[in-house]
Amino acid sequence: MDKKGYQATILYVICHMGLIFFLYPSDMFSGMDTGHWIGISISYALHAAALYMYMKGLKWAAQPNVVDMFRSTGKYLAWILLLPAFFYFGIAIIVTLRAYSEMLTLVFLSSTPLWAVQLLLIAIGFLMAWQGMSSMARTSVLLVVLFMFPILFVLCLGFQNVDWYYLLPLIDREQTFHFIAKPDFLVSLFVYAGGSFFLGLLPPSIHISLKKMMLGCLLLLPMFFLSVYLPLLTFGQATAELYQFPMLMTIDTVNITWLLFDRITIFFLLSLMAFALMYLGVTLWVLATLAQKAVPNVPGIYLLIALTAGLFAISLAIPNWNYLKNLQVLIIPLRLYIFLVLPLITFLIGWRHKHKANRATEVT
Amino acid sequence: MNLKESLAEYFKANADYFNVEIRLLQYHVQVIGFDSLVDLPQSIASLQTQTSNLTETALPPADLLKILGELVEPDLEEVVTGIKKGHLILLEPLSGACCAVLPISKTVTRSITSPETENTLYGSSSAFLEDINTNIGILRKHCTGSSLHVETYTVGKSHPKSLLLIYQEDKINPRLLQSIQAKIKSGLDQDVHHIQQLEKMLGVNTWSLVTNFNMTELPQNAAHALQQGKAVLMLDRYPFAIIIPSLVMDMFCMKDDHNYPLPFMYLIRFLRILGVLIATIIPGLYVALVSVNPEVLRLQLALSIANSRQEVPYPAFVETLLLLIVLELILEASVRLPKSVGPTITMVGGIILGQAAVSAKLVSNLLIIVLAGTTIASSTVVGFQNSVSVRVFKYLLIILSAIYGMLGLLAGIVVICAYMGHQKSMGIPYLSLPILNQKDERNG
Repeated sequence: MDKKGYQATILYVICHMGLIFFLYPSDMFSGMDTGHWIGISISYALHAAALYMYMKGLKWAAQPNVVDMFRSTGKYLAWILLLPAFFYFGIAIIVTLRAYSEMLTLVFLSSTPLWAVQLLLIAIGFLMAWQGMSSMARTSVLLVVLFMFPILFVLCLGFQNVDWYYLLPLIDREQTFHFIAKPDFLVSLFVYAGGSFFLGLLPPSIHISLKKMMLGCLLLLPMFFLSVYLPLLTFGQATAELYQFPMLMTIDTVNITWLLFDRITIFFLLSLMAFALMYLGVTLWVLATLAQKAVPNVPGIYLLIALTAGLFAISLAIPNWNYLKNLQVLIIPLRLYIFLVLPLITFLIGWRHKHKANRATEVT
Repeated sequence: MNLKESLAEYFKANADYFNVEIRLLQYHVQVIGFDSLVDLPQSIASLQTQTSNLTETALPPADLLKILGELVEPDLEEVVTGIKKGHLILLEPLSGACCAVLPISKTVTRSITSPETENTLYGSSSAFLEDINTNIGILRKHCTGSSLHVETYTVGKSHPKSLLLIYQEDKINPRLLQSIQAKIKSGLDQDVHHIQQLEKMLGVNTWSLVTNFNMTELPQNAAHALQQGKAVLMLDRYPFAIIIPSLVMDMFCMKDDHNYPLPFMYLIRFLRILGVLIATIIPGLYVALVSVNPEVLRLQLALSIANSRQEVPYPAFVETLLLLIVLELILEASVRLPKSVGPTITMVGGIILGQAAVSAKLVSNLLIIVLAGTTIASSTVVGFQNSVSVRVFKYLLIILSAIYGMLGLLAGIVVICAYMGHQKSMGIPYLSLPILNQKDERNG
């Protein structure tokens, strides 16, 4: 139905919005001491380039999806290339599920057990994934209409306690690029890695417009900066580093006398949670779609139920926050693969296809 | 047994069946029909006027009857069908010729009045009737273009009924039209007396919580829908136009809005959207804030709420559910009851029950305000069937809020959004824009 490519762009933007504000700032603060903008710019530029390559590759290959495209190079090669992605998305769901439920109990559900929150989150993710991509794309438009306003409202108010001196030093003379190899910085790439792979699996009814997608990507740039710089400008690096969720602490400091509610954090958090649920749904759908391609004999719904149950069980088995942190560090190679290598492979295969097609037309 | 006797046998249990003999030219003709549908004296007078004006008087009976009406086979089945349709059957017993005449019929429909279930402020205030032919007439006055098509189907075997499919050929999406036509044609032998049977015939989800059809009593709304490229179904003896597909914006927009100045139109529509949000969210929010997350509220407000709930014995969930169900009962009762008793129910429900429940410390003051606001807000949407959907959704939010607090409220909203995203009406997603084929004309 959507011929202009808005739905795909909106899905892409809100999948990222659901991730940016929670884990990213604290990873950045532990990864870098000064000049955070350099780190953000580098990772963002890499992400934009990877996104461009991924979409360009898909377009050139003229294949309905990324699995068929990889299959055209060789049956087994496709699985070797896509298996890491499958694992990565499984772990991404577990991390998101666990980290977000921890955060929710921390902020406002102190007496609710962790498993109950996890169950709710995965159940909604399952519901969305079950309905399929076209339904999710339409739902995402509705979610943006409902929740974008509170998020922007809170972000504007977040500047209430800002001290602009924390911005300095903009450039440190002793700034090195060692941070790129630091595990904390590499963990922060979590927000970039998972939210654009689904573009390669979209059904033909949802179009992708390269221009709109890049515009959507541009829209995310201020969000990345805000998520790091709002806490930094409010608390300063030394304090912000100590918090588990610096962005939420920043919003907690905002005081509005005329509002009915004492804590606007809850609106910010809940609006972003709506997007995060969408991310969960999309990622579950990606997993189910990949699994379906691997075992076409089993009906998709059984695969989805099995995946959901399995991931829920694993996320229950994670004992504590430190374990989660370790897990995040362990999957750094996988993450880099999804973040950079996979788009590059897609680009190369697409390029080869284009050349082949060109040669074919020249011959005829 | 000849036809006359077998007809008398067939209709012996019908008091309004008549069979009189009159003289037309030189023949004695049996006039057969239903007294309740045919104005007999006037019809006979009209027949005799017609025959007396004939210049040639030496016609054989079959030719004479052909002039008066449509010749039919003189067998029981055909004649019975004609009689049931309200035709007058003329039978010349000697030659066996038989014809069906369109008689002067008795008026069994009300005249065009203003709508009962929908109100217009500035729009035209004529409403559809039970009579299908009048309805087409009214609609044709609103749609004067040449592209209006009206297709007639007779559906049902035991109780046949006319079903009309109306569309504008240049506006409607051909695929939508084809799918509707195919569904109707394949279900022609099903009886269609109410909307659920129609839903079954068209193969749409009968368990859907959002409405599959928009029903309107207002010809202007039906005409507007036609212009947007939708199709309109009309059922004989059903005084509403059934608009398919039904889309989310139909909850908020109607043709009458275009009669306001443009800024007001957008403000009114915004108000309706706000109304739906309030109606679904506020009861859940109350439960979440009172029972699970009171710390979100400003301290003074939290204290005053706690104060007003001090002596209430139940948890907020039960309290809200209790009063909501009473409110639903009042709504249902006021629909069913005659207009003269309605105000009494409103007074008893609103003032006496509400006040008494608060004084008896069964519910808090704030809850009364919340629920009154909810009930009013849920009626701001266009179309009664849409307000029913809105009323249903809030229960999901209340249950989830009671378990998970604010998170449950959010989860409920996301679930509702996902549900609406999944719904389709005749293959068109419920969440598509109202413009199916072309732009909504601003003043049209």
